[in-house]
Amino acid sequence: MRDRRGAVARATGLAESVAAAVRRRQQSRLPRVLLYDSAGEPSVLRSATVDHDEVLFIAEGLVAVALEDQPDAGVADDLVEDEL
Amino acid sequence: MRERATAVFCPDVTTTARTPEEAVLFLRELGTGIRACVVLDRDGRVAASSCEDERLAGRMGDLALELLERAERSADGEVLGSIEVSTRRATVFAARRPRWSLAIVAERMALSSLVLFDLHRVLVDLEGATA
Repeated sequence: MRDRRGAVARATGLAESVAAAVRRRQQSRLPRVLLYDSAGEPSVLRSATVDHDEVLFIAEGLVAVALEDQPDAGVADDLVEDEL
Repeated sequence: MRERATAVFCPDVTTTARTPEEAVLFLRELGTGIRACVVLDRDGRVAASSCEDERLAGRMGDLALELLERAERSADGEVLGSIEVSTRRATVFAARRPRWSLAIVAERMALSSLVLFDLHRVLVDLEGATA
């Protein structure tokens, strides 16, 4: 009986750690805007604000143009992987 | 001993990027995940770009300038040192100096600190060469 509880606990722990890893991975894939001051100190533009969304929109345009110039570049692989 | 070794292998911290074309070449050869870059002069014109297509290079230059101007407006009066934008497909880095601006598109997982270091290093060299 004790062994079975131990196995369930281990399985639960494993599932939780996998879920946490997936959450961390998704978090790291979220769009993010960092502004650095002249001393190199970063500040994050809060998401879902006009500033954030406009800066992100321009940057996405820049990426699209860069990838258009090199359609077989490996950058797009990240997107495919992300959508799986 | 260590100082001597350092002097041998790292004679200085400058790049060979003295012209915009050399800057682009230097950044592309680094192998730090940099996929594309564009150098703008003080008037916002494209001085050099990794894009072979002139039309795309011009478009990249326009967007880089727009990005820097929009970021400066978002900086709440602070002087903007540089900007880093992680999109779903890649990460964009950009910075502006009095004479030159530079924007880089790097792989999503490129190390920010490395790319930012190289970006500023190249800008310093470009500024130095035209001072």
